[in-house]
Amino acid sequence: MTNNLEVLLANLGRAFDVDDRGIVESIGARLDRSSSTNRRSMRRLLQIAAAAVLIFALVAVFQPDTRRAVANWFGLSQVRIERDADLDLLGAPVSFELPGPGESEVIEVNGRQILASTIYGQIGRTMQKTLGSSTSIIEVDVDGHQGLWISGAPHEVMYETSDGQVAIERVAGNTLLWEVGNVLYRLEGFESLEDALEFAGTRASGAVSD
Amino acid sequence: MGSPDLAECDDLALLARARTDDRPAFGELVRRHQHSALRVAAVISGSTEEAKDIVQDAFVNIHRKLDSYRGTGSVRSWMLRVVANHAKNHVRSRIRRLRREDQHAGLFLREEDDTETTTVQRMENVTVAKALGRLPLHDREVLGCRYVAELSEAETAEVLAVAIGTVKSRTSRALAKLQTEFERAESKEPK
Repeated sequence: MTNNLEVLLANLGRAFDVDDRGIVESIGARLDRSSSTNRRSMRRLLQIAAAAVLIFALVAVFQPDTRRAVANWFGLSQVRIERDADLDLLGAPVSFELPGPGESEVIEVNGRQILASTIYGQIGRTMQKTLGSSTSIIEVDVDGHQGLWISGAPHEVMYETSDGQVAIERVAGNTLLWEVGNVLYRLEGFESLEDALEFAGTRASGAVSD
Repeated sequence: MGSPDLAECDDLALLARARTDDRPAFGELVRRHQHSALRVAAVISGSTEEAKDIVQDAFVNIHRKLDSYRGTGSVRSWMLRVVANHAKNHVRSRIRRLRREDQHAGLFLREEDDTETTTVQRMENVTVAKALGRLPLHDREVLGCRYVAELSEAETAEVLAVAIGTVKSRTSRALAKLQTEFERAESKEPK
C-alpha cells in the first residue's frame, strides 16, 4: 500500500496546476527594481515591516496578564519575552564571555563570530529576554521547529538557575532561538535571518535530527 | 527557452557566471529548477497560488546571496533549500491560523479530459491532497520533496539539511501517517 501511496503522491505533484510562466521575467524585473533602489530605502521598508510585527507584540506584552500567552504564541516555552520601552543598552556585546548555561562554542562563519549554544532547561524557567522598543521579534521555522528571530537593537538576556535565581545577565545581539523538546538551541551574531536559518539548518542535521 | 550557450553550461558554471552579474545565466538557473521549486513550495505552503510568490521571493533572495553557496551540496539542492525555508516561514507567518486541512484546499489541480480514468485519478489526487494537508509540516516537507517534487533521498537530505538516515526514518513515519489519513479521507468520500 505504501508503494501505491508513493505513486499517488507523484501523480499529485504532476497534477498541480502551478503556473510557471513568466517567473524568470518577474524575477528579472524585481532584480532590476531592487538594484535601482538604494540600500537605505530598502532598509527603511524592512524596518516598516518589522514595526508592523512589533506593534502587535508591544500591544500584547504591555499587559502583564498576557505575557505568558505571548510567549506561548511564539511557541517557545523556555523563553520569556518582555518589553521595556525605557531599556537603553550600550551597544552589542564585544565578546561572548559568560555565554550562559548549557554547551556553547564560538565559531567563525563568513568572517563573523557566532555563539552557538545548546541549553538544557526546565520548562518556563530557563531564560528571560528583555527587548527595547528598537528590537524586533518574529516567529520563524527552523528545520520544522518553531523558533524566534530577535534582531535590531541589542537586547538583555537573563538566565535563571533551576531554583529561579538570576545566574547571568548580559547584552546580546541578533539571536535565533529554537526549541526541540526540553532543549533550547541558540545562535547569536548573524546579521541576517536568512544566514542564521541556513546555518541552523546545517547544524540541525547533527543536533536536531530524529 | 534559454540560449544554446547557456543550455550547455552545468549549474556550477551558471552560478559562477551569475555571480558576475550575468543575469541571463541566473535566469537559466531559475528556468531549470523552477518546476521542482514550485512543487516543493506548493506542498509546504498548501497553495499552488502562493507557491509562485514564494518561489519568486526565494529566487530574488538567492540572487542576493549567490556568494553564500559553499559547494557542500549541489546548486539545485541549495536553491531548493532556500525555497523550502521561504515556504516554511510563509506558513508560520501568514497562514498558521488556518487549519492545515483548509490550507490544502489551496492546492489546485489541472483539469484533464473527462475520461473515467482521469476522473478516478482526480478523485485520488484530491483525497491525497486532503490527507497530506492533515500531516504536520515536518512530514509534509519530506513527502513533498521525495515524491511530489521527485527528489532523491540525497537531494531531500540536502534540501532539508538533515542526514539521509533522517530522511529515511521521517519518510517511513510520514507515509504511515499519510496512510491513516488517506484511509480516513477515503472513508468520508461519497462512493
